[in-house]
Amino acid sequence: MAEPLIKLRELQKTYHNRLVLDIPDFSFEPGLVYALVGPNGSGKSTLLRLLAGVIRPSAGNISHSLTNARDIAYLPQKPYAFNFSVLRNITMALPSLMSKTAKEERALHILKEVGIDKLRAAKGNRLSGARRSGFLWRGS
Amino acid sequence: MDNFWHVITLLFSDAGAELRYIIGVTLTMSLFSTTISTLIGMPLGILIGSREFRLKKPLMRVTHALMSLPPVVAGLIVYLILSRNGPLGAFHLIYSLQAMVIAQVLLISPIVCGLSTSIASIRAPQMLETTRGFGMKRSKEIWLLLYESRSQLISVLMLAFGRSIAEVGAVQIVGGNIAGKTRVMTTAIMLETNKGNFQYAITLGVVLLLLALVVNLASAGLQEK
Repeated sequence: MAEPLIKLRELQKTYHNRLVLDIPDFSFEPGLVYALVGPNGSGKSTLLRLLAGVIRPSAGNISHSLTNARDIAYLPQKPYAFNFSVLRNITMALPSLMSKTAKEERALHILKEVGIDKLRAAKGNRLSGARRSGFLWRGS
Repeated sequence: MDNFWHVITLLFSDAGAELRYIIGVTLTMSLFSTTISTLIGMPLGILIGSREFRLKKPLMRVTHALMSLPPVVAGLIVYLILSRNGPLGAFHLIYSLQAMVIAQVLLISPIVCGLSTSIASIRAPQMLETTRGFGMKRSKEIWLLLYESRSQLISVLMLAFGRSIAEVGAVQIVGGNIAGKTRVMTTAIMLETNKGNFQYAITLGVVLLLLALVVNLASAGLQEK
């Protein structure tokens, strides 16, 4: 059996002394698609934010067998778009190891894919929420 | 209008040497105190506002309390520290420009810090969730937050400058209003009013207003960029 992509051990997250997430043991296996289902406040977003490194666990640990931690990306429900051009917003989200030219080529490709390549010079924070999510999701 | 032309003529005449000196001391003091307060208060405020830690709330309460520190109290504290028998009396800083800058930094830094904290608290959660979700380096976060909040932070800077240039209580106590050394526009206005020399006091007031107007126009230009 292949090594798990991500392993969670004794993972806990508390906010203001209130336990909001408690996962004793879980592994994400390669080649499988996972769906997080649960009522409001059950910790779905917290788990995603922990996996992406947006927040740190209060206890336990998360380990992964990925070559690059940047292979895990997370786009919040209301993403923030910077007061830069749409093109620069996407290049900022691309891995820092890529060259500037490669980043720009990839960003232009993404804009064409989303169908907003004419807006590449527009300010990212002036676009609607849906358009923001669209280009930032492809960028991530 | 007569006062305005009187000010202009006085500024460029031989009789205006004292006025030019007072303007110079005022601007030097305000620029130094605003710069130092910004360098202390702004990064600290951005850090407090953008991070979650155990002592955040008590720290914010202390900062907010210090924001309303009366200028005469700040002046008194600095006076007691810098006076001949004070802990830093050996440096002979009392009744100097440096003492006035120190008193103003004590007054203005909490204001800059408190306002920067509020600005960062509003913008940081959504911005940091996105940048961290992309795996962006944490060292870049503060710079991005500063850049994105620049318009509001320029307003904070202008408020700090305004507070500094208009301040009278603390600089009177630690500066002593010595002619040709520590006399600034506000302390000079107070002195001339007490002497009944209203014409000169109004002249100084008009210059102070013109300076404030120039600085505000410059800041408006920066904010529009």
